[in-house]
Amino acid sequence: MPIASTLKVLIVDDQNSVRQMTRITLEELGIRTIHEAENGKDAFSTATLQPIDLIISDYNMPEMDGLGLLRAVRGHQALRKLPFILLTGRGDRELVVKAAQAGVNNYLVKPFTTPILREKIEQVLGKLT
Amino acid sequence: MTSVSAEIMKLPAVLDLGAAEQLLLDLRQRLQGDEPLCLDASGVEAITSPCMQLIVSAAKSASSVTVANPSAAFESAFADLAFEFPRAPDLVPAQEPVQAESEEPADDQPAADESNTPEPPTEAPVMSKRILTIDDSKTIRDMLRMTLVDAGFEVLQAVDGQEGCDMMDNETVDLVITDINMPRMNGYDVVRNLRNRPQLKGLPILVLTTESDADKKNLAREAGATGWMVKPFDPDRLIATVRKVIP
Amino acid sequence: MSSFEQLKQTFFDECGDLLQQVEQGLTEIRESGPTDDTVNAVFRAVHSIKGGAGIFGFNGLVGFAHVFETVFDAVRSHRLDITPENTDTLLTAGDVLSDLVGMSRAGETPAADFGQECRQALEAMMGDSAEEMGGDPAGDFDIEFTPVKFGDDDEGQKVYEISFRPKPELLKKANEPLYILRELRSLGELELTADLSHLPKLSQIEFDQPYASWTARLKTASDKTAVEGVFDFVVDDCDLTINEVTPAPGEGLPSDNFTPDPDAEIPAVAAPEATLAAAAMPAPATEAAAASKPAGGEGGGKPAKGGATTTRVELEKIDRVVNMVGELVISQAMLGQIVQELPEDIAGRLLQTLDEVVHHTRELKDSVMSMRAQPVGAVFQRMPRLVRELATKTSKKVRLEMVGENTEVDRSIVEQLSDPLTHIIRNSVDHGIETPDVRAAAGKNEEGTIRLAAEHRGGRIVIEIRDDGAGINPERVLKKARERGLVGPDATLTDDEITNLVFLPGFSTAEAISDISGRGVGMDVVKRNIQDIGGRISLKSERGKGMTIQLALPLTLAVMDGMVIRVGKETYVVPMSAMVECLRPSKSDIHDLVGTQGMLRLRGELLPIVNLGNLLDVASTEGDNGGVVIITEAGEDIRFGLRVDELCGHQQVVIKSIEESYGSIPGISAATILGNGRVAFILDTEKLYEMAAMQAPAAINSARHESTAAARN
Repeated sequence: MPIASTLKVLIVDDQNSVRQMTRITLEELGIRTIHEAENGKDAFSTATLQPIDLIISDYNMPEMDGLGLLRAVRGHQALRKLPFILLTGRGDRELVVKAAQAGVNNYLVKPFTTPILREKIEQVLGKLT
Repeated sequence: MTSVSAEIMKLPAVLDLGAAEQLLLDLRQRLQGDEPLCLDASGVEAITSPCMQLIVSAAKSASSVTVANPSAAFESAFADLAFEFPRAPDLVPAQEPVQAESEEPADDQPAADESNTPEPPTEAPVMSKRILTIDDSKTIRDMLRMTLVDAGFEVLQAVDGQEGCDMMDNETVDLVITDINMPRMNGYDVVRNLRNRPQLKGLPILVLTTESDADKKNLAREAGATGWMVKPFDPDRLIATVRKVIP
Repeated sequence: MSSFEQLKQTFFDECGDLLQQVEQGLTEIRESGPTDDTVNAVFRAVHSIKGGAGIFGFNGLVGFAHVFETVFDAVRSHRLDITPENTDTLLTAGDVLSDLVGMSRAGETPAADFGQECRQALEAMMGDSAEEMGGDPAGDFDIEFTPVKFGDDDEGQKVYEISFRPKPELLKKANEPLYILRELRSLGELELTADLSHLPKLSQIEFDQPYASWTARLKTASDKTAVEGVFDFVVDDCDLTINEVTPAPGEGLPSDNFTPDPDAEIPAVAAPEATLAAAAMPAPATEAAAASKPAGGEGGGKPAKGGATTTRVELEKIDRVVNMVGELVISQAMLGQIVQELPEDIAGRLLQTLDEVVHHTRELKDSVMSMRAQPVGAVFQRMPRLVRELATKTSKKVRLEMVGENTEVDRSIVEQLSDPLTHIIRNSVDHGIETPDVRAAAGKNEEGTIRLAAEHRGGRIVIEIRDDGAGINPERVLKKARERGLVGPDATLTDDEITNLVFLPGFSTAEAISDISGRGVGMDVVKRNIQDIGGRISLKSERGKGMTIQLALPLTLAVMDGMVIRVGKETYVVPMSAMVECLRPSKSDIHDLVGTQGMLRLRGELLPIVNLGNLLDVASTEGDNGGVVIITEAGEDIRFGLRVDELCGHQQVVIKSIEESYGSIPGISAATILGNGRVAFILDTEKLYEMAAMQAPAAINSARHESTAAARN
């Protein structure tokens, strides 16, 4: 049962507006330590340097997309178990299938509400306190 | 029959590429006769592949060569390279080179390989590794110094290639980190200059390049650089790279 | 502004960039056909716009963007082709999208049928995949997906077979196999075998040659790039192979049991499958994939600008840094001044350090300036749509070619460029390019071409606008000029001179001032705009063939290299970019010519010399025959010599505009503060030439003719 205020989350999306919206939503859930990255490459770098408990990542990004980031994380000795939630758009069924094969923990369709984000996070990490 | 007295040759503490030439001469000299030779490896603190090759070759050339009291560093190096060395079965009393008297007969010795573990060599004060940084930008020099000193290295600085090379006339260092674009003498010339000095064999030299500058990396490698470091650098990656080239 | 409002603002800023990407991509597709990269770029941009719009509830925008996106999705999955026929629809869609964004930004709700025609055209393109169009907002998909709880344990290991044989260079460059193999070992479980069969006997061995090679089997969760990374430094100095192999059963690896059919039920993913060929598309793997190259991630082409990591910084912050750098440059010059006055022994070391400071400041200035640098594409971007709309309005066929959009120039220049460029292109379409039938009758292609090109040339940015239209009609121009009294009835003018008459104020030959080009905004305003930012404009026309306008602009407005000069008691600065050379001509090199201060013969050319003191009404100390002559440029192919008393040195100067305080001073473009703290004016060499010409027009003109004649001989 993770304590929200101690969780460290990394948001990855090339659109600043989406990152900020996600940040606000996470803060509503009581999460305080939030890192941001604009693309998969920067996110991977951050994940190797900072302790991260959860990655919430978009799919469509330049440099390295969400699937690439997922695979990089899953392939890294120390990070391979890192919980990963992929943001998808409507109609991205095939993406979810591929993500599942690559080891994603959960997916979230944009745009999302706070209760849905909570549900998805709790499905992966357990009830947030 | 008394066991044949073995010549004992104590191996020096540092057996890097720089020490290899001398080691080869010593080994050849000692093996001129047919006397068994025992290499005392208790004092070895650092050893790398060139000297390890020489030891294995010596063992290959003369069946009577053995290694006694291998230090932890010696053991782990050989294990890590999957090289084998012939062990002296007995605990060999340490240190005087060329023991004249015969040793005690084998059965009097406490046998068992466990007791072969030598006493830990007396801890000589571990000297920090010295690194020479050459860069015409004070900011970079300071950043390098801060990061390296924090990690326990001793840092020397030079402001350009010429000063760096001049310093190397008088100083001994374990690693050189140099920028490429500098006034008076650029990084490539520094590398070439240092590689031309036979006494600096085996000295790792890293060049600082900017991200994705493949040409500069290749030119530096061709000039003889050991490797490179990308700037602006991440302190952790800097240290990781430094540890790649000096233990 | 509430944070939500701020977010909206951020989103609209992003949309600006995204719409640009759409426009750029669509233009490329139109010009050279679709490529995977351009299609992906457009798709991603539209997708992002849609995503953001959805968050903020701009439903009209979302709806249209969704249709647009779906079409592009079909294109990138090769279910739909882009043909010349449907390209226009796509282009229009881009315009509609842009308009919708604009409306959302202004808080307007678009009419329900806004863009209806275009949307229907898009839907028609999709044909029977039209069901994709519908679709309600998000809910989870109707597939079986079980979230993977963190903490479920399982391994995803890969096995690599590695062979490594160092070559002599490896040791020469001070790399060491021991450290390399130790690093390899740190990645996982390593089984290592050494091959010392080539190790010679002691009598033959050389101490600095490598004789060993190794084969290894590494079990690790790392991907191939990590394994290859261990050998980064030595990859050229050894024989190396790294192969990922199928683990034998019983090695403790999970079996893959994902079926390739995406519609099938996905088994509860209790084992996060880590079949990782780094980032390559996995064929639903039933075996650990064979060694594959790291790709860039699925569906992602490189971003248009080559993938540099970027970040957003408020312009204000950058401008503050620019100002600071400017102040730094001034302080540094002052320091230099003071150091000059110190005794030699102290000054020596100080000067050396000061040199270093100058060097660093120059680098700093360059870096900061490059932060402010924008590609001219930012301005070029608006032109295609402009041309499209104008062409439609005037019932002409015009196509716009753009070259060098990535050429970078200071942001301030980019901003000032928009109006003049727009006007020039408007002119081109409106007056330059003929209607299709006229063109056909003239044997030209029905479609006219306007070519917009930018490049760096000699420390400036040169922008050329060339059209293949009708060019300028010299007779009409001359007639108009005579009517307006701009030219004397008897004056003979060369064709070039006639062409340049269009730059005179109040000039317009359009019989009916069309509402497109507006009234009264003539080429004279364009010229003034360009000159205000320190640039030059020139015009060449060939009747019936077309017209070329060239703009030469400085790269930056803020700091420049200048030569400090003295005339009498006054100090001035000549921009280095205008200087060609300096010399002290001997009397014999100067030819007298009535009305001028002399003509300098220089390497076969005759150049008029002008005394700066005379032009600016300053008493010189060296007189008409002393001092130094600075050969400067005053326009394309126009050079003349400026006689000054003394050259005082070369330094970087910060350009301070004086227009606000003092208005326009003839011959002066701006001011600066020198190292000694005094203010110096920066000269505008082109204006100076004009002033000289006005003072003694006949003389200057005949001097020019003489020199051209001389050159011809």
